[in-house]
Amino acid sequence: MLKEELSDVIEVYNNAREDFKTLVGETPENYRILIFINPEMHVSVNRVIEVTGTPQAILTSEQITNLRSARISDFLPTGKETVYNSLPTLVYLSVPPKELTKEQELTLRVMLIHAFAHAYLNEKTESNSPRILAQLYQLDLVLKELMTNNVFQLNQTSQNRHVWAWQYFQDLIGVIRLFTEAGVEDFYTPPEDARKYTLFNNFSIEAINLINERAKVVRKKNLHELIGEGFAHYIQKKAIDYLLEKDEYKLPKRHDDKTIMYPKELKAFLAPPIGEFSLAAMNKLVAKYTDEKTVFQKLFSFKSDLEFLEEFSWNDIKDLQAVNKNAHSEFVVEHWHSSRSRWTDIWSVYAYGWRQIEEYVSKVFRKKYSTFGQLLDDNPRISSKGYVKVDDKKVYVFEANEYGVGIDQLVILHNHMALYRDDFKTILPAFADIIVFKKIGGIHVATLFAVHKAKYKSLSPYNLPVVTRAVQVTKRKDAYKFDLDEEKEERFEVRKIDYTFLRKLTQPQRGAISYLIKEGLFEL
Amino acid sequence: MPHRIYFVTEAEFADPLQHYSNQEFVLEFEDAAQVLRLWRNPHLGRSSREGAVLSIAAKNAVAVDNIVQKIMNTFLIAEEEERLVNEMKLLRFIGERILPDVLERVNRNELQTVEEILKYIQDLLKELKQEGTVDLQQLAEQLSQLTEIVDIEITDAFGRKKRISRESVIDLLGKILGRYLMKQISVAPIDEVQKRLHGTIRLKETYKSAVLSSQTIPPTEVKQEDIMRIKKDRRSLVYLIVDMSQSMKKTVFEGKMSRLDGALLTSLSLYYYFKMTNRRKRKRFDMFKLAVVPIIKNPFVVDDDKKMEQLLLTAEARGKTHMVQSILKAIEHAKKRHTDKDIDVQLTIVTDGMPNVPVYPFSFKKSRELKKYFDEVETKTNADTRECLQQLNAIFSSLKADRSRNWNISYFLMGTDALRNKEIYIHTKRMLKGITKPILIDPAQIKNLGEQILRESILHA
Repeated sequence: MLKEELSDVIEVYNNAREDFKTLVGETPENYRILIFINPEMHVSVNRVIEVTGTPQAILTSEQITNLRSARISDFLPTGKETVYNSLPTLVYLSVPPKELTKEQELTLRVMLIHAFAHAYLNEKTESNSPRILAQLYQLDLVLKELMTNNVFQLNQTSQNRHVWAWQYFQDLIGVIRLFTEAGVEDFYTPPEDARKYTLFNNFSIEAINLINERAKVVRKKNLHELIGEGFAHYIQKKAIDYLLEKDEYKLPKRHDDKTIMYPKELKAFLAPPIGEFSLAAMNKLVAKYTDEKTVFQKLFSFKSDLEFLEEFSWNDIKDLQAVNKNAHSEFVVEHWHSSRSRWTDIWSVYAYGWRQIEEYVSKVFRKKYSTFGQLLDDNPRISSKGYVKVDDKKVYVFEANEYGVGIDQLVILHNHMALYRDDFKTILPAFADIIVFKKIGGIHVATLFAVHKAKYKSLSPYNLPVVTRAVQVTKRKDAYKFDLDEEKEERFEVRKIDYTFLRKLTQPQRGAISYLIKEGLFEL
Repeated sequence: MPHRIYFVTEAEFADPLQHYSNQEFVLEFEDAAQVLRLWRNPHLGRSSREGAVLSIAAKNAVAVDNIVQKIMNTFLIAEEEERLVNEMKLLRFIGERILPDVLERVNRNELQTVEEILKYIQDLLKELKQEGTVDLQQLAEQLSQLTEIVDIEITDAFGRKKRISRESVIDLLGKILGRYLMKQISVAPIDEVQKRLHGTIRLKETYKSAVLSSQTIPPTEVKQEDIMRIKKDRRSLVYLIVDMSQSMKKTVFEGKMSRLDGALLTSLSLYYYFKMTNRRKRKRFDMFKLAVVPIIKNPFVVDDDKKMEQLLLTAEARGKTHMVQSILKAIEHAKKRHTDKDIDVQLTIVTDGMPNVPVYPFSFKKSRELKKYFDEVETKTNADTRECLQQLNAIFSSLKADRSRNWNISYFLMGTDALRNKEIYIHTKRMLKGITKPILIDPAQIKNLGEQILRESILHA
């Protein structure tokens, strides 16, 4: 029954392949297209790729909660196909309506051609990007399987079921992945011979090895996004022009300026800044070499975006950005948005997109970055800032950027403190209590996580008596002056605090640390 | 390269945003009632205030990120775009200006409870309104997310504990109950292609069948039996009209569950049942739609998640039985919102008593026969109730006589078999004569209420 329902889609698919052959001369052969009958699934996969870089990566529970909440409020983007640029190229699509209107047919055709362009480039390019992405996909898949099996086993073998296990392992993998990718060195790996004692140890050793391998691989990946998008948008533009010229599809024109009104669903391809910019760069390259074939050959030989950008001078690139940004600002709001919206509201969103591109381009061009690892090091997701010594105990200090670890997940790290290992028997990467700086939305906060000694056996790692305190990091002079007066005397006699092991911190950050330690560790 | 099509099920490609811990979580019906009660009481939860502020901030940040993407990547109608832009502005404002302030006050111990935090934010937003930059209505709606600060801990059949935020309670409960119902009963498949006399002709199938029977391409003729039609899609709109009068307070269950709890949970389970059955099929429109209409003084129609949540949160059993008003409301809603005459309307009434607040002025034509019955019969039933029953009868008869669309009525009376000899049953039966029969449902069997309602009213309608 389903096959029949997809007959329209298959017809469009075959047409799109024909089109691609006419436009480029060849067709890609190494790709998979996954069509989701449940559109929510497609949106989810799309977000997972956006957040983690690969479709099978494990998200932390906080990421899942926040994304789910956004999904419930209907905040997630929909409609666009999702391309994972590995080899084979993976294309994810929501299932189109059963009977396609002309407009939907055109949309789907263009979408498929866009995807073919990605697939074609991935086959031809000399860059390591597609192959590394394929490797990452496999590693993530193995990790997922490993996790699933271990959760299953853990629940089977133990007396009291560990309901928390799934979430816990998810978070664990998410946190360790972050730490290894960022190369934070204060990191404890259990010894190889711990493997035989428990399933848990075995799993963590296995997972840590895999994540280490993954981190090594991902850091080597060439930066290839601009080339990929550029090529795809270039072919897509050609395809639209070609299809409209053939007169098979009739698109209405606007009354005022007589420009073509493209199908609504093509917005994801025609509106965002990345398409505008990469297409402009491609056009410039074509103008430079005049012959399309040579340009394609050149494009395939580029290993990374750096080589692509170095075809031009820095002034050229700046011009390219400024001119296209201007042109973009003039039409995008009118063409793709309702006339009731205010221009400044909408354009600010696009301007943000342009700013991201500018940042990326300038980093790649000025600092000569060619791999993902270099880009990561430039703005590490998490970095170590040394530790504070409170009596005999170390309180480690980290700084996470916006994309870094979620606050909840840091609780994970507490469960592995040597001090309290009696409560919960695991040998895993261990930190003492920690302080993390993180910008969340508009607040810059410092958070302290510490663990009380538990009187009774904890039900799960999420039930440990955790002390969490959070305070804003600010320059204001009186920011950390407040405290609870009545208990003042008690507080100071116990503590011997040594700040000498901290590094590279601002004054407000130091203020926040001392406040947190006074306030938070007091109760222990 | 040969092009192949494979089918992959959701079991092989799972939703990456799925909370796996949810799947295994088994709640009994009584537990669900307990959860509902906890959920309706915001003071029972506990959560770190600072952590709560941070988690709102984190959630806001993710939402803003996604809205930005959505505005750029998804085609939006004007209203939707307006909504997103407003939400984005608001979330940014809350994240950048309000939450830092709140956090500091929480640090200083100036805000000690959720209510205080909420009030503080509201005050800040009010000041903002005087500056005239943001629509307060919008803001007030947004504040609902703060109620998430309170979460509740529940235990399932295996003694496993789980914390859920109040926000996701309705989803969790609804899905559990809906699935529970789905296991018991399933609406028959509607989209089979059949040889039938009525319905839309399916050209492709007909052609195929003609080719097969005549053994030539193109077929020499199309015989009558070759004509394939799709079974006509009858769409139904179900209005569940639920009694919430004083008497529903009665406890019928050991777990201190009242009739109201049962009725609410049943509404929720039916609501999710249809939501889930609709999602399973890929159709142009939902085959069934369920709306709940509470029997209260000022009845309203519950037809989306938000209103459902509101109903569950605020419902209480009190007051008289304003059944006539609720039914009129449902009829008005059906006529106004669903003008398509192909949509059948199913009124399902669940009550434990008789209506006692008549409507004036009343425009339907009342039955003389029924009036005579009430005049002659010796009864303790008071005049208002008798009037109400006549009004109900008049409304139902006029619906039955309506040729423009199908109206189905089913009437459930909560009570044991002993009720059969009581006035309430006899009167109700008399009132429904020629329309439908009242169905007695044992309130102690409240678990199976949903199943029984489904079976009696939809499958055998």
